[in-house]
Amino acid sequence: MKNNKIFNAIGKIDDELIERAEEKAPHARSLSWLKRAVPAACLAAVTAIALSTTLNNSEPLPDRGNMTVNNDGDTVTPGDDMTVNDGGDTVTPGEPYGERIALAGLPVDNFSLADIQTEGEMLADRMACVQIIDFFGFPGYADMFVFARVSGTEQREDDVTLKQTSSLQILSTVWSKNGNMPGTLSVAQSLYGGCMGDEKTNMLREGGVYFLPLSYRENEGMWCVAGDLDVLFEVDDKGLVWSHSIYGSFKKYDGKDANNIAEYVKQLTSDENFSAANTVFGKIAGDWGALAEVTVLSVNSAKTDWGYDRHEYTLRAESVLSAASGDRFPAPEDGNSIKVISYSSGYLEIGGRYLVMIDPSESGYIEESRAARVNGDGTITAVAVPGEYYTNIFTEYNGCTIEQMREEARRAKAWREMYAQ
Amino acid sequence: MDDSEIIELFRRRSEDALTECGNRFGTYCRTIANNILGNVSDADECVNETWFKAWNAIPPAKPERLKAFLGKITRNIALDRYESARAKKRGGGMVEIALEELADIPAPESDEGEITAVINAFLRSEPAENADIFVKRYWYLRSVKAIAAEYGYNENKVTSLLLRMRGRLKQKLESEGLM
Repeated sequence: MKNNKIFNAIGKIDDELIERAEEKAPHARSLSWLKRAVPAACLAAVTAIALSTTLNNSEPLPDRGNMTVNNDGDTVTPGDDMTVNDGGDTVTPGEPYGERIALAGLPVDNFSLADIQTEGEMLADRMACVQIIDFFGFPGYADMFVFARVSGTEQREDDVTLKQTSSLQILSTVWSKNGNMPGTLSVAQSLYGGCMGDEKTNMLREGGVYFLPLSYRENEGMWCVAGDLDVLFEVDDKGLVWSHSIYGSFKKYDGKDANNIAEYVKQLTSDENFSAANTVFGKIAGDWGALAEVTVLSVNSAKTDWGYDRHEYTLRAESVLSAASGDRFPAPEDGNSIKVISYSSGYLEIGGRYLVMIDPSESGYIEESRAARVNGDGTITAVAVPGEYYTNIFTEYNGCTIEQMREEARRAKAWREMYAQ
Repeated sequence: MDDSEIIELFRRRSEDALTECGNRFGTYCRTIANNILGNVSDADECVNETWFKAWNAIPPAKPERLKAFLGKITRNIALDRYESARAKKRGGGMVEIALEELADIPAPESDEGEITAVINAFLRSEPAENADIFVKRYWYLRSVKAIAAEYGYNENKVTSLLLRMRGRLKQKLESEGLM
């Protein structure tokens, strides 16, 4: 090579410079896209401003930018009476889903998304959304469920795939994580996605009506259709829904009134145990590993083949608060000694009593972000977690008793068992 | 799902971490590898290897910027493959052309760490757009044509901007006593 030294040195530049360069690119493209889309954007902005006096009850969307873009591509700050998303679109408040509503979209072909994907291998290289509860947390991470009509679409090529931005008119918000109910939104889709970026998805059609799980991608600053490689609930011209999915839990709604699935989402999100099940703690307690009150007996530390510190703790399980269903992991029993490993040390004291979430990985894995000290009065205090990127799942339960934690875990598990299909 | 949640999955030794990386960064890493190798199939293999290396690195690694962390792994894997393919007289992408351009700058005597520190400072002293274009060209190994299209410039403007930047970088390295 001609100048390896400079080239190699460039390869080690600061992460911030690397990420910033990449992040600038879509911004530059979106500005030019917006300039080309002036008529629609202008009309939407003017309409929103004209209506703004009646929209004072709109709530800001989570972590949005606070600027929009005018016809010249300049950024402007909106008034207090409208909000914007990061795509620069005005967002006006929409309607909450109450009673069943009349819906009519485009005629729909009853095809399966699997038919259009790479060799039909939907599950080949990724986790898929196979049931509604998968949209709450991993892997779907929906922030809201809405009925929406696609009022316009715009497609563009990037280096790898075709991307589509669809303008949505939100007809009704069935569930919203933060209580926001926008009237319009822009959502992005990629023609190809999946683990290797080679699985084809199904783009929203202009004029179509859909029941959509939407998630906000913080990192990319855009809304997207959650799980669109696995399911796409499309409402036909008779108001019937078609999932285009191969999964039974979605297909069972096919050919039926679209309100049925909305009512199901409404039911499971208004369940008394929904909030307990959908914290980080609740998600783990609901279907992952075991939650146990333990006493630390000993620890042995050694280097792994990769040169990392590996600590094997011997714990006595004083009380098992919950254990996931299935046989992922042999759950400890009260009074038994168990061995678990951790890649961190110093957060458990020998002889100390703790509440720990034991992960089934590596036949039992613990870490500081899943551990709380049990105090003399029976309450818990989350152990400190180093670094800004980590939070302890027990932090929000500081001061709760072991019995209260047992109840939280029970509620999380009850919700999952009730709605898992 | 944000970076910290994905890192949590790694720390839990959950294979879901790999799936999430694929969903979030698959296209990003694939593009980096493809820029270097000019071959989609080889790029796919690089991306798979990236997830494997990340799996072995986290924990104990706690990357503060997961995207760049994964991008660097991909870039290194792809460059290794590029070297191997070059030795076999096949393959190739943008690397050779980028190296030709960087040949304007004589190889400094110092070690790479010192050179990187100067390049970091140099890039931070440049207007943000210039620095981004430089990084796109020599870190992401994007073509001049693609960069020009992205910024709405013609290719001559990007080429001359890069030429001037290389000149200023050379001066910076000289003034810091590295050459």
